[in-house]
Order: sequence, then C-alpha cells, then structure tokens
Amino acid sequence: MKAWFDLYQQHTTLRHMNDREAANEVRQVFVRHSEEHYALFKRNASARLLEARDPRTSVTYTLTRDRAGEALTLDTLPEPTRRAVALKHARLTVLLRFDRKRDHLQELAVMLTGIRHDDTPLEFAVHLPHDLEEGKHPNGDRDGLGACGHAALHCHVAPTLDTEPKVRVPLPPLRPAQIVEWVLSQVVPTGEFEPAPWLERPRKI
Amino acid sequence: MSLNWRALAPHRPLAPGETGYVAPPSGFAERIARQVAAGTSTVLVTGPVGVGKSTELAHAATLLHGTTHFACLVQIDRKENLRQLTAEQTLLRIAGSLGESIGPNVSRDLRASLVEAGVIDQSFKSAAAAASLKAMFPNAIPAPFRGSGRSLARAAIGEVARLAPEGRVALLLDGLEKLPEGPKAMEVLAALAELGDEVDLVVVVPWFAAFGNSDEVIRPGAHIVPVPACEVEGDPGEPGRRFLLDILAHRLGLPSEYFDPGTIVGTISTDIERAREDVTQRRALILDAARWSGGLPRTFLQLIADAAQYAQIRRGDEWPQMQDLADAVADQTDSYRRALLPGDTKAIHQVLGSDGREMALDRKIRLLARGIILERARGSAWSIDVHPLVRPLLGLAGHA
Amino acid sequence: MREPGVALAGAIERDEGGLAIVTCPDLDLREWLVREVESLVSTSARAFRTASVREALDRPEHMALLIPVDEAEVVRELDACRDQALEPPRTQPIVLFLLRDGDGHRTLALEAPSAWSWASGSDVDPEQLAELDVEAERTVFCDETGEEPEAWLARWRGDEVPRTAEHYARAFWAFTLERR
Repeated sequence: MKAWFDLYQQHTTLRHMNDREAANEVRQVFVRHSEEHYALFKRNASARLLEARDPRTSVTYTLTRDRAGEALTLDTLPEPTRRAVALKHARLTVLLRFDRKRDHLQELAVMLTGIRHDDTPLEFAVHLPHDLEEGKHPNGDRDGLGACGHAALHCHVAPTLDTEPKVRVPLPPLRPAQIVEWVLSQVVPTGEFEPAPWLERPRKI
Repeated sequence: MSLNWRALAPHRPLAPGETGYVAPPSGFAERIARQVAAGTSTVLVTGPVGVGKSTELAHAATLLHGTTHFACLVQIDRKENLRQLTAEQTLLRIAGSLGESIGPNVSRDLRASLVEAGVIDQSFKSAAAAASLKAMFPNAIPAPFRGSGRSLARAAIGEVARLAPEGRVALLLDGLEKLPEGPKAMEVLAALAELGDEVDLVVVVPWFAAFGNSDEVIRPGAHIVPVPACEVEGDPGEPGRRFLLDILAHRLGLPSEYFDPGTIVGTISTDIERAREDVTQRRALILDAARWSGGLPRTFLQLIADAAQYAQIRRGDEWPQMQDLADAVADQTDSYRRALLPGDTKAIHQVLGSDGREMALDRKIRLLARGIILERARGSAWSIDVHPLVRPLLGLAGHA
Repeated sequence: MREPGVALAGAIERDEGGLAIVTCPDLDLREWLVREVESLVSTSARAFRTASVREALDRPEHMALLIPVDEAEVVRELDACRDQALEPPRTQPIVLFLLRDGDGHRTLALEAPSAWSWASGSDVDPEQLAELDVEAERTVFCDETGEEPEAWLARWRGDEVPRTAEHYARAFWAFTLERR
C-alpha cells in the first residue's frame, strides 16, 4: 500500500501552488497551441480562461464560461496529423478552484468531450476532487475504496462518464498546464506535445 | 466577406487627401478653408479630444491647397515631444515642413540648413548621404547656413511663396493643443507671431489658450473656432448619426448602403428576411454606439472596435451583439469615471443647461478638453451638455 | 459580467498600435499582471518590458510592456509624444501598467487628455473585473436551470444528474455560488 499512499501524499503536496502562476502556465499552453500550423484552438483561447473571485477567498478559473468547453480546431490541422486524429469533434473544459490566501489548489477538472469518426462519443476527464472536509464531504478527497481505487488525481477514459465500469486511472502529480497538455496529446498525436526526453538520452540496458 | 476591424483605427486621423473623408454636419473644414480663402489671416482651433481636429485640419489643407493658397500642414506632434518643445524648435519644425512641402524644388542652401538643423530627412546626415549631397550640389558652400528658427522659417516662407503659383502661404499647425500650460507654452504660441504677415495661420491651440489672451499673443484679431461634437440624439441628431455611420462604413471599406436593410434584394424570401433582420440589428447597434459617443468620432470608433473585440474573442463572431456593445460602453464609462475628480459632479450639476460661465476655469478647461462636458449650440445660445457616457455617473439618464 | 481575460485581450488588440492601460491594485499584483499579459499574448507580438517611453516608441513592431518608474512622468511623456506612434505606424500596442488610484491615473485625469483619450475604453482593471457578483450570477444560474444552485447541487450530489463535462462545469459553478 505504501506506493499508493505515497502517491496520495504527492497529490496533496501538488495542491500547494500559486493560482496566478498556474493560470498563466495554462494560458501559455493555449497560446502555444493557437499558433503555427499545429493550432488546436482559435485565437485568444487564453483570454477565455475566466477568472472569478468570490468574497470567501476562493478563486476559480473556467474554460469556458458557457460550459460548452473550448472547441478544438481539428479540421484545420495539417496532414498527416489530421488523418491521425481519432476524433472529428472535441471540446475542452478546464475548471480550477484555489484558495488564494493559502496558495492551495482545491479542485481541478480537465475534460475533453469528443466525437469519433464513427459518431460514437469519447470522454477524457482528469479530476482532482475538492479536499474540503465538511459535513457534506467528511472525507475530503479520500473517495472510494482507498487510494488504489480512487487516487486523488485520476483520469477517466470512456464513451461517457457514466459508462460502467467507471475506470479511474491514477495520474502522477501533474500541474494543471501539464494535465491540459497531456489530455491534448492523447487525442492529437504529434511530437509537438510532450517532447520526449528519452530521445536525447541513451537507453538504460 | 471578412471584415478588417483593425482598419477602424480610432486613434489615427486621416492624412491630407486620404480617401474616406466624411464631412461632419458642421462642415468645419470647408468653413475654415472658406474663411482663410476670403482673407482671414489667423484661425485658432479648439475642441475636445477625439472630435476630429486633426482630420478636419488635414482636410482644410487639402481644400485650400492649390486654390488661393499654398497650404502646408505641420503635424508638429508627430516629431516633437510637446512637453519639451521650445519656441525655437517650433519655428525650425515649421521651416522643415515648408522645405519638405516643396520637395525637390527647395533650394540647396535651405535644404542643407534644414538638414543641419535636424528638421528634414535625417538620412542626409550620414556620410554616404553627405557625399551624395555633395554630388548633387558640387558647388555647395563648405558649411550650411546656420540661422535661428525665426530666420529659417521666414526664409522658407519666402522661398515657398516665391515658388508657389498660388502666391500666398497658409500654415496649418496641428498638435500644439498638447502643450502643457505654463509660460513655455505661451512662448511657443508667441513665436508664431514672428512668422510674419505673409503667411496665414490655422493653429490648433490648447484650451487654456482659447480662454486666455493667446489670440492677442499670436496675432491681434485671431478667430477662435471650436470643432463641435455633432449632435447625435433625437431628431436633431440624425445627420450626426449618419455622419458616424458613414465614417464606420468608409473605414471598413463598405458602402454606406451596407447598413440599410431596404437595399437588400433577392429571390428567396426567407433568406431576404433573415438578411434584413441582420442588417437591421447591425444598424441599430451602430446608431446606439453613435448616441453613446456623444458625437465624438474617436469615441464612436472605440466603442465599435471594442464591441467587435468582445464578439471576436468571446465567440469568434464577425459582428458584435448588443451585449458586446453594452460591455464596450461599460469599458468607456470606466475611463470617464477615472477622469472625474472630487468636486466635478457638483460643479457639473451647477452649470447644466447654462452656458457654463460660472464654472471655475481650470475645471471647465479640464472637463471640456476630455469631452466630459460639451458645448452645444442650441438655437442662438451655447449650452453645456454632459457626455452620455458620463451622465449615469452623475445620476442622470443616459442617451436619449 | 465582463470577463477579465477577454476585457484585457480586447483592450490590447482593439487598436493596432494603440495604447492599453492595465490598472493594478498594488506593486506585487503589477508584476503578476505583467506576467498575465505575457502569458496571454501571441509570441508574434514579441513583447518586451521597458520603463522608457522612448524605447517603447522606438520599437513599433514589438509590444511594449511599459512599467513605469515614475508614473506621472511616463504619462506626461506619452501625452506629449502620442502622435509619434503614428509615424511610422505601430503594428503592436504599448501596454502601460498603472497603479489603481496612483500618480499615473491622477496625471491622466489632470494633465494628459491626449493619452487619456488614446486609451479610453482600453484601460482595464482585471482584478476588479474578476470580483464575482454572486447575487447576479445566482440569478443567471436560476434563469438557466430553473433551480437555485443548492437545489441543483443536491440532485448532483445524489447522483441524479448524468456525469457529463457540461454538468461538471455547472456543478463547479453551482458550488461557487452555493450559500454556506
């Protein structure tokens, strides 16, 4: 169990971050993927990450305000990438909630809703549940049957999020911008994302 | 058709002769050109920021040039920091602009002097350019003539007047309205008197000068003429709204009929109805922006450009919706709110409906310069109006 | 609600080669807002930081992030040199960072009508815009869903609402607006 507990600890440590820095990192991902020939977003996607501050010190970042998510411009990708993309439509939703005064990431959801070429749906959803411990959430982010069954930072991949079994794949402690890049890299296969460090390093034998 | 909203360029006045000029209901440029042609020697121009002073001055220069006058537009703020401008440098700039205005016909000695003074083409200063200058003028004097700003300006006026078939020179000076108040500004304005009687002057002056005695400082008997913000509300505002709509159409490269639903014809009735509905909504939005602008073309273009940005960034839409315009209005209102200082609200309420003479002069100048209050000709009298974007800040109803 | 990011990007892009003003509540947030602008804008803008109006004007094809040492002087200089931005025409804006209620804004109001007019409608206070009007947003939520956020959340928490990205986003927003 130690590995799972360690992972949970890492997720807890991950939560400590400055919200403005994290939001800027996410914006930079959008800018990077709104330019050049691999543009995945329309211009100004970075501006559509909506910051809202409520009087109870929490601050949220939402892409997008209308809840439909930000459309990926898959049909304008260059060949051969366009052919390699398994989806014909996809929309990205990013939800972040912070306790600004504590530099604390309370909750995260990065979701990509897609339609495959055969018109069947596909959902990617990375969740970091709220860790608030209160009457409605007595266990905070400790859900399910322990860390190996419901790691705090986890991903669902399924036709819909209600499809059984509801598989939850644990993720390493990635920052919000890294999660956005990872999700994008799952549907748009190109070396432009996640430059592989092992290409520059000799393999261990 | 993809629209280029950036072509609105609210901060850019039209250059002389540039296509797209739309005459305001006041016909300001025509009026000024007529006055100068008829023998008025000095016109001092004022007006709130963004009312179109520079565009009107440029057009007046176009109208005058080649008729009774050789007209030279001097956009002094394009070259100089007005906070550091001296009387001497003003005269040198005028000399430089006159020299440039006659292009290759300028005499070699005047050109060399103006290059030396640093007020025409800087490339002549390089070694290579100096060599070519020598090649052009093999008999050039070893060192260029050095004169004061006054002497070079008068020499330039003399040379231009001699060469120009029109005979008389008109100088249209733009940018001096940015002079900060103080003795240095009065020195700059007084220096214009040294240009001599051979030249007619149309000068955009600071507000403080319009209320002071600069008409006497520059030349006795100068006419002070404000560029008015056009009426845009109610029936009297119809020509003003049309004027602003035409400016928008020109800057977007569209015919004005583009915003007239009556001009849409076709064969498929449902498509026509939809197209007419779209055009009707666009026209309503443009006219609403015109009313909010208070008749200031720059504010109008800023509102439309801002609304278009909201539409593009939010939804990728080519045309803004009313909510986008409402947010652009809120942005502008924020700017006006920041420009209001303690005491302004009470002071404005006290002069509403009057000609504003009871308002303290420094406050009046500050508020007039920003277009927060506007002088309107109502019948035979002048009346203080409050900019529509400011009215809600003062507890007054917005535009009519 | 005017979205702060949209308002900020719109202010920067409204006039090609124009002047945008970003209002900052304090000096620490000024640095964060500079970074936010840097993270928002296209790499083709080639944004650079400077404290000098002259340097900003001399690089018309670069977005100048003008971070004043002396706000009042910078505003005065911009006011006096505004039209130099027209020749040669700028292709990138100048983005000026001023403290809320600071010397720069006061100078704009008192002494610098040209600079004020140039930026009018493009002076944005993103921190202020980010302040959520909870009651107004609750009304919008009710209009959209026909339910108070608490009622909607109760159904969500009771697993009565299908798990879709759209509903996750709605639940997220309802949690923000929930009365506790």
